[in-house]
Amino acid sequence: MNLQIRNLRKTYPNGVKALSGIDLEVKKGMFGLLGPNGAGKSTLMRTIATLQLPDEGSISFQGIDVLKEPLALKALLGYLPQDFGVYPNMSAEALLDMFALLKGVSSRKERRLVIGKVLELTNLTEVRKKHVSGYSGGMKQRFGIAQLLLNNPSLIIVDEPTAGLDPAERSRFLNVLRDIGIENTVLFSTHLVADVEELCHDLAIINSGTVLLHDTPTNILQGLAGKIFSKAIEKEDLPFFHERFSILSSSYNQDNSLQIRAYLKEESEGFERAQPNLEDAYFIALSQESSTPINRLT
Amino acid sequence: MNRQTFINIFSQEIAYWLRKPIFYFFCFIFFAFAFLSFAGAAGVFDPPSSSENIQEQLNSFFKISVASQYLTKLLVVLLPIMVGGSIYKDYRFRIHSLLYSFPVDKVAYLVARFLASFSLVMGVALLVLMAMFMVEFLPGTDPAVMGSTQIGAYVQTYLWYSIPNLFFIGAMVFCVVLWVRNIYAALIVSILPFLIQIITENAFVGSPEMIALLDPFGQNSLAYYTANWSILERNQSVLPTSGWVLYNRLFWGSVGLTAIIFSISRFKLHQFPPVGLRTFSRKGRARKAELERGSSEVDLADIRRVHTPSHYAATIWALSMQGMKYVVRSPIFLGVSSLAVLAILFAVSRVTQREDMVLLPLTKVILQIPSSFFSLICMLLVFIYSGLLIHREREAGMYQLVDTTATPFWVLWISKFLSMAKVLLLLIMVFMLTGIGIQLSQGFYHVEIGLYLYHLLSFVWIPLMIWTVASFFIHTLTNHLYLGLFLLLFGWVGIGGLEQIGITTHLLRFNSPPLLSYSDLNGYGLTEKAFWVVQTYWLGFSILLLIATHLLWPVGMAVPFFSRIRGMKNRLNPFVTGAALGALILVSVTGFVIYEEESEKLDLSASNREELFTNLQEGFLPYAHILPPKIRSLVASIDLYPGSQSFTAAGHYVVENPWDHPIDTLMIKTGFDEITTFKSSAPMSLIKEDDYFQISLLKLAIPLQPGQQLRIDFQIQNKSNTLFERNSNILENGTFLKQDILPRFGYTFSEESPNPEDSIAHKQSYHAMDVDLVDISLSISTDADQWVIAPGYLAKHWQEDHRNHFLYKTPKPIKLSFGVSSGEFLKTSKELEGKQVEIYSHHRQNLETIYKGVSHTFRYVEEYFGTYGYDTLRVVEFPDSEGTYATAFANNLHLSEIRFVSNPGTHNDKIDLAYYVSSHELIHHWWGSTFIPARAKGASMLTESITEYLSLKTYESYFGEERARDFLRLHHKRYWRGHNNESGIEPPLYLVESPQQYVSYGKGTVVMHALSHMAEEEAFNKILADFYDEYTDSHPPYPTSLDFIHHLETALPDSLTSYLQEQFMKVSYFENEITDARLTASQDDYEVEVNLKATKWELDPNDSEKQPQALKLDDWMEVGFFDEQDQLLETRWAKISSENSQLQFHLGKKPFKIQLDPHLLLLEKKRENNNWTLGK
Repeated sequence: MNLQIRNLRKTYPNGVKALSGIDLEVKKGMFGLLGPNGAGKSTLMRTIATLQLPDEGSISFQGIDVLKEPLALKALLGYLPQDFGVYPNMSAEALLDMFALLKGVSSRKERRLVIGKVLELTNLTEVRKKHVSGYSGGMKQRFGIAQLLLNNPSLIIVDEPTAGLDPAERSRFLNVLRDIGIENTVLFSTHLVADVEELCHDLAIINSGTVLLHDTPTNILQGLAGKIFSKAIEKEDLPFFHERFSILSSSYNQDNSLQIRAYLKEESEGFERAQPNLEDAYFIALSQESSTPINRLT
Repeated sequence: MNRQTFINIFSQEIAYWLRKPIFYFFCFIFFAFAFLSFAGAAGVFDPPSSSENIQEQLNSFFKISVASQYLTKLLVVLLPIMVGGSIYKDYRFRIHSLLYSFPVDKVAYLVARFLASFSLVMGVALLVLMAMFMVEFLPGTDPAVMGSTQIGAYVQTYLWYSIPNLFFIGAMVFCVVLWVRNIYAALIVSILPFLIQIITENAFVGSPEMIALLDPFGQNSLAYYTANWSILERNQSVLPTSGWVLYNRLFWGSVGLTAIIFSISRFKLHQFPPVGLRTFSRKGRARKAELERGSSEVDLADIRRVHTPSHYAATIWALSMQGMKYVVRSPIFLGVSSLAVLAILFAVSRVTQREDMVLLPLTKVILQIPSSFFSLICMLLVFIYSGLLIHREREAGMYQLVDTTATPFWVLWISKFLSMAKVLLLLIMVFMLTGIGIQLSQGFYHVEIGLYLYHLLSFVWIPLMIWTVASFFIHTLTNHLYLGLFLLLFGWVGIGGLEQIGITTHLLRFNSPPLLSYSDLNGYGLTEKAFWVVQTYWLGFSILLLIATHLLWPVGMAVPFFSRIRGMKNRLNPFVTGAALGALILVSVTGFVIYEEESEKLDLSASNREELFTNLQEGFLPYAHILPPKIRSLVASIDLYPGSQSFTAAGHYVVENPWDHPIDTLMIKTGFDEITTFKSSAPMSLIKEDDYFQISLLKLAIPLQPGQQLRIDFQIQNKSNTLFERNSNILENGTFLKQDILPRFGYTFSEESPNPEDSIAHKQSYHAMDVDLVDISLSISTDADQWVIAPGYLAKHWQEDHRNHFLYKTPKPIKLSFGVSSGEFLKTSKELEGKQVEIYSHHRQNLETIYKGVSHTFRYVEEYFGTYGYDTLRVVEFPDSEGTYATAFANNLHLSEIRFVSNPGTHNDKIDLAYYVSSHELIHHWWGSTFIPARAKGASMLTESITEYLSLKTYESYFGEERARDFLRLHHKRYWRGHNNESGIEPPLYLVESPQQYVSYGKGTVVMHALSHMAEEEAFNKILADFYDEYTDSHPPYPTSLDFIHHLETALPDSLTSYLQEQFMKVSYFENEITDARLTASQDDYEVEVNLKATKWELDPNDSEKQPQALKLDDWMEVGFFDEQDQLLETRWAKISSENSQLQFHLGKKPFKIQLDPHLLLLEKKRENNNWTLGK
């Protein structure tokens, strides 16, 4: 019972094409949705989460026609938007009680049980009586996960949850996500390739509302094996290399020289073979889509 | 302050608003509203008026200021939006952290933001005045209400009221937003000045200076000077700009300025606010049991999740509680509602304390408060908090979380709606408890909880709930808090104005049910049914609005209006469609009923009514000179049916031709609200009739010869009531039926009584042209549980067919005016001064006072004017719905309910109303019923002025001189109030007519009292008694006011002749002042030198627009000397014959204070400057 998205299209009144025919099948486990800002990730996720309607297309999950029976999907859904707030001056416990009620936990006793559990899972038990509006970024995101878990969702959608978190919080957050991703379908969007690398069994790269690439990380890396090369150059020479090679990324070395990564069909002089990573795949996908050379400093 | 920064930010702020369409929307709305309402007032939509009286000019300084002050109050709504918004938008869009990191000059930034937004609001205020100005040049304005254009009027009100008022409130709003970074606080802060105004008006009743100073809008500071202005002064004068007006403006201006300076100096460009606005959550107190331990064992999958209707219901309830707590715990809400409670406390004194009396804190009296301002505060809270509740998730950024839970969206909006309903219930309960607290604290224990609950829930809560629905609909539709709020406020003001532009139907005036009147005797009467029908109609309409709200409720990202419109069809399901259909049917059915009932009511516009009256005059005035026959006896039987609010009556008159010529034409006028048929013992034929005024002109086949009699039989029944109009005088309890149900003879529509000089004046009595005195026999039946009181003695009482029957007969002829009361009464009786006195009342309060009033009156009046003509006197209560007056018919005094519930003893400066009224009405037995004046101008001087003087003296005989003086002081006030508001020509006493009570009661009492004071009470009363004795045969010729003045001139010393002439025949008054006084003491002699400034003015008898002329002074004035305890030591008379006089007095005791005219003998416009304290 997978999440199936067929020919999803959405154009905003201002003419922006957010989704231009997305087809995607998402299986159980962690699914990473990669794409630059404005790629249409959030629109896609909000559409799946029934927060907005597409102009065309269909979505189904576990036999539910999502667009026709939004409430049925919501019963199975856990959703964490990119940016959210909460009522000010309310404790995590009180807020979770409200969400549990909204998610159908009718018995007060069971609400108490389930809140205790999600607080524990997200490691928020100690601060449950504190106002969520006063939480740090990471705590707030974990609270987001806590509320998401209340209905034991089988479809979980998290939209760029690690943006703005410090490394420790990010790692803590990803661990929580990893735990819940084992049994469920988790759709996880990010523009940080590293997040996907750590977590996902399946991924799609989208831009301009279309899927550029959909495969497992393993397959992707295998496909790139032997095609990624690296070379240290002088900063002034970068335009020269851009003209001749498809440069994926560049970064500075300690000695202020530039280390460039290139996607090459075969070995070239001065380039050393490098271990491919998902970031390479991401840039390859984006560059193929826009057919413009990538010039980026990371 | 950095000048360049200031200029940049200032112009950027101005440009920001000028780019926004909503700014132009505000401009348009205010301009249009000011234009239309001013044009409406100027009569553009009405036919031209034909009144010859002077009218208040709308474009006078005074009126322009009044109108613009009202519109400025509406402009307050812009302050939170624009001035508050100028700061808040930085927080809202979270650019403050960015902005504050620049090296911005704080003072320049804040001052520029404030001044820019404030200037824009002042621009809108200017538009409002421009709209009013343009109306002056509109064709079709009524020239009677438009004087010459005076730009100064606009400039003055703008500089003195618009700018300072908006500045003060704008400053408060700005500071609040600066400190708490919350725009909603600003909304509430802008309500505070309104509350402060109400509270100060009520808290400082005795000290007008405080009210003048502390009114944030300055209206009372203006009223301090203008309250006593006559219409002429209001039309012609420039408004005062010094004294309290100036102090008030300076006070509030400096409060505003101080707040701004303080806030700006203390404000820091920090990312986090210095103070937070927290709700009062009970932190630290664990509201729930501790979390279940061992929750790690819990499997999330094991928890039951249900999506059933019963779970939704439970969710709605739980969320509504949470929503209610959100509202109730917000400090702003708490602040406003505590101020509201405070305002109730003060408002109670306003509804229980009238100018002349104090009422008991009856439940029905306390319940008058919600209809005024408490409901208004609740409504404003509804407008604001329903918006806040609706937008709560979006404001918090939480809507995506909520909208993806498996709870249908309608659960959310219903829960919010329920929250508001509960908040209102809570407010109402607070009101009720405050009311009960007030009652108990005043030692009044007759608390009617049932009435409280029924009234508040039905007549306060339901209308507020209908407003809540409107508020939900508008806020959902606009999806913008300020826009929604703005539309709601203007909608509310607009609905209030519909009636003014001629839209009177309840079908279009949203949530405006007919006004309710409540009587302890008769409940809400007919008004209640009308209320429910109209409110059912609007409830049906509310259901439609709720359905629209349901269809438009934003979910997820579907916020733009058109995407919600597109989504509406998806939300239509059989339930929604069914509900809409049901509501439509309800609206149609009740709407049809209202429509039918409203068209039943002959809704006569002013012009229509004028036309009907012209028809009547054209048709019947030519016959007005025909003298009617006189009624010699009346026998009637009346059957009252309180249950169905109807009656039938049948009876006959015997009429006689008293004149020396035959009568061949008869004009008969039958009861306006009754259906009457009549026939006579001699054949008559109809010449013409008027259906509307119920008047017929008949030709007698055989003329009625002098001295010949005729019998006329009649049958009467009431027209039935319609939903909105009462045609029947029968009530379920407390019926008070009067003689106007009977047919009468002659033309009674003449506008003017003849002058007393007129030769025909003596021929007719003032109460009727078709009767002198008459024997009356009334047989009356009513329900078994009711008792009937009618004039005369109860000759027979029996029960038949489960009904109570009564036969009343007058022992001697009386005026043909009677009252028939029927109700469930408490009866008490006493033997007083040889008479049996019975009281039939619903209320048990004040009965002893009434007995006292009656008994003392017997004692005082019988001494001069003879024994009371009956051996039984009855005092009967009738409901407030029939009027708040009191009257006397034969041996019955009928007193309105309100006269039974006064609260004497709490305020000595007020009248003990129950005592005074029973005394006054009883005196009419002599002056009005036995002594009957002629039908001529000045008649009410002979009845009311003398009666009021005698009741003042009776009052004094019991309460003492000081309280009688307080009573007299009220008569002075009454006179001046009437004098100032007189739009026609004020008559001298000898020409006064009954509507001019300020002259007959007010001035008349002052003059009679002065005469009595000067001629000595005993002597003056004897003079009255001589005149009384001369005219008590109750037959023509009847006495006129001139007869009385001649009598006085003969009986009083010659020295008073010019006084009599001036007081009775002219309209004059004084402006006197003690300008200086000195005391020189030597041994036992205290020499006092008093400098006096005096002017006597006379009004032109023919031209009300002419300025008063100074009269030559030659008047005796009394000077009183008081000791330190304010006890009068002695009085001395002084003859004043020039404007400035210096008087010398030698006294045996040391005076502390001097008072000119201590016995209130002179009519003086201003008495405050009559006093001079000499000191120790």
